[in-house]
Amino acid sequence: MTNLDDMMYNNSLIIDRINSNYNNKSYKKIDYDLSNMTNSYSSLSKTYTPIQQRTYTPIQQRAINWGSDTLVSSEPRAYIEPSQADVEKVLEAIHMVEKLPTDVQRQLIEATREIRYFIDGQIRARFGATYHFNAIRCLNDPQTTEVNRLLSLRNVQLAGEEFFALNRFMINFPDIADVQWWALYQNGSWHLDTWNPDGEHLDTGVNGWGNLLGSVLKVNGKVLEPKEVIAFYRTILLRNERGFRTNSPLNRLQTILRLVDSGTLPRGLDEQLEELGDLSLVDSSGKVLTYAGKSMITPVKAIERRRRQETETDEEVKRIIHPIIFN
Amino acid sequence: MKIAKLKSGKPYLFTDVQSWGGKGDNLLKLNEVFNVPQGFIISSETFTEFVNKSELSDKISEALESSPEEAHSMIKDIFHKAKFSRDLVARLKIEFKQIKKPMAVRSSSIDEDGSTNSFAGQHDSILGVTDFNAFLTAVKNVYASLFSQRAIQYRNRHELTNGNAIAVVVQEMVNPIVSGVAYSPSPRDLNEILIESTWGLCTSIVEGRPCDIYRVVDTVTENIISDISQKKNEMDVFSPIKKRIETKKVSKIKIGISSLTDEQALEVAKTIKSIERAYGMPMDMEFAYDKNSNLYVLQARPLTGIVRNEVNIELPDVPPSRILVRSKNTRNQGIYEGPVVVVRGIDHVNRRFDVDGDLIQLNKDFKEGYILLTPEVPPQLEQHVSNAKAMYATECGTTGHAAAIAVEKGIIYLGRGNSNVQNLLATIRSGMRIGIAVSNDEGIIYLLDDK
Repeated sequence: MTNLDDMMYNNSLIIDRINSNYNNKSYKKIDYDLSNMTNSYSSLSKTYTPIQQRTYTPIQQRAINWGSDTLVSSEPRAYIEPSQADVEKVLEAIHMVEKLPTDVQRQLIEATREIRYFIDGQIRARFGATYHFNAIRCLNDPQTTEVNRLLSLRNVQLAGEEFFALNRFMINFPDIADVQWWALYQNGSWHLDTWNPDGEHLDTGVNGWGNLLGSVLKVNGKVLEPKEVIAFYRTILLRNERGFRTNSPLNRLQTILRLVDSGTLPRGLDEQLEELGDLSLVDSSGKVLTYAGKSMITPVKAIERRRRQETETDEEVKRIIHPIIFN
Repeated sequence: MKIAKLKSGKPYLFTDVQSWGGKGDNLLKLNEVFNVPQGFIISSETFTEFVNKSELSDKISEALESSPEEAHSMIKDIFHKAKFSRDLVARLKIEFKQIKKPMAVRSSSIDEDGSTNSFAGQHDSILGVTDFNAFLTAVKNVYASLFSQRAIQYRNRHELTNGNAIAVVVQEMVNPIVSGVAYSPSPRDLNEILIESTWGLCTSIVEGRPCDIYRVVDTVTENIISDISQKKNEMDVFSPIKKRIETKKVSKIKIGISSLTDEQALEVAKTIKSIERAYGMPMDMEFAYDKNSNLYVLQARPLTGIVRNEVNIELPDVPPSRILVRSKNTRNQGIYEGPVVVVRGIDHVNRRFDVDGDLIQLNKDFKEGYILLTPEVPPQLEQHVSNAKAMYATECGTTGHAAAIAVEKGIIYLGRGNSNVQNLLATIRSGMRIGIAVSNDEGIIYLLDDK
């Protein structure tokens, strides 16, 4: 290609060509004439598309559980194996990847995997590799939970895991108490690691995670839509890389929360109280800790979380902590 | 009524475009980790409540039966006569008092700044608001702009159905020393980050006036290729007295020097890279530096349109004597030969276009397609050049409205380049046939062979 600097400047020749080509249009200046434009518009009324009910085909095939041959515990310690009715509830809540737009599919697959990796990594970094029971518990045994017949598919496993009281230690996430994570994977090899008496944890065998068929996440009791899962993943990435711009560090927030909780908060800490309110750690009165606020200052272990799943009587708290409630 | 605060340390974990609109949703997310001008967002539900409680729906529908220009004026009037509820006024007053003045009041439509539609400049923004009554009027003006002719046509063209509610973003105005637009990845090279910056407000960049260009090749080795414009002798500033943006001459000491330091270019590059990584898609960002060198993220949105593919088309072998323009500012590849429509000049102040011919008629005459030659493409022009198949913008580079619109429409685009014709736009005449060929690296506009 000829370089610009080498090009011949041939203005007169070009203008001659233009003049000979041009069919004598007169040059005129016009104001903007909008009168010829037609108008159409949508009405103000909103239309909503009803949510489609999921349907499942009847049982046709036997379940095949993949993974390690190691015997899993016959007596769950930190989890309660969901009943068949509970499994159906989880499956109903799960957003199936194939039903989503293509661009959302790709992002949901990535977000489901990376959110678990990120939180798991933060917990192991804080407590040490084998002390996962301080903030993780399983929600089921993927090798036991039967889903293949319900889905009319082969080699599918349901894996559920709960990350609890995260805002005790995750410095950029003071507003996140719990994340409950449920996912359906095909051709993976999910199984329980049961050796730790303080609680089981999820692991995968030689076939790894497999292909994601669908997932559902609850964060602080809120059941996320696929776009919210993706947005939550963005929050994690941005906060992890750039830091959350709170005015007070995590330990200072915890100190103030303890003072609020004990009713000994001195006067003159209005800004700090406002910050706790912004983070939804105290209620609108500024005197009562919310679930997330209590979570931030209360040590808890996996076995205690299981007990609370069974015994919690406060309906609002139960809605947040119970892994099978999705409304 | 729902109001979300743009306040440092205010969390926004998820997404709610239906309530906060695309721009508002993005700002809430960015506010968690970046320095975003503080303020608040009035939800789209507030708009719907206002319309329903004031029983404006029928009046608006009736007004829309009129001609588009009349309709917008009538709807503005309808909104101005309607009163906000006492509760809403009280709540807005509380939020209003907490923001430093002057403030900007902007639209945030439900489809705005999405990954497929940019909605660039389709709704009103009111700048320099300082008193509460003016603020309420500004909110109503933003509401009425949902029914402006160009906003309606934009929605119709893009088959958008959600355009019947709008959120409002209210923010402190930043008085920038330097501002600009950053792209990650660069539309020209997927391995680079592109930054365009200038003195003052970045409105001049969007309009295609001269600016500095920085290609950040590597943020680790700090490899930056700078192209410092010697022509950026003007800057846009907001005049608090006249309450509008004015163009001023820059001081002599600033002419020809880089508007960003290397450290600032790197800071901008790292910021847009973080945003791109988090969003998992190509993004652009408007930014500003204040007098204390604080970086503000003003807006971030997905880069609309398709990121150029890797296959590079080959330009036709045209003799130099037939080449009118050659440029490196390319966006969408392709070759098109056909009639040309020439917009000779754009007068922003008086909102007039100096067109060679009747633009609306030319757009109809050449409905099969034409090449648009224009200094730039402000939103007001976009609606009248809907049949353009290719575009050459003499004042725009690879950013700004012209390029954004070309990418969104998927038409061939060439930005400002070197012309072999003095005063090209006054020489080429609407109706004559020319060719445009654009590859990834270079594009040309050429006279067709007589044979």
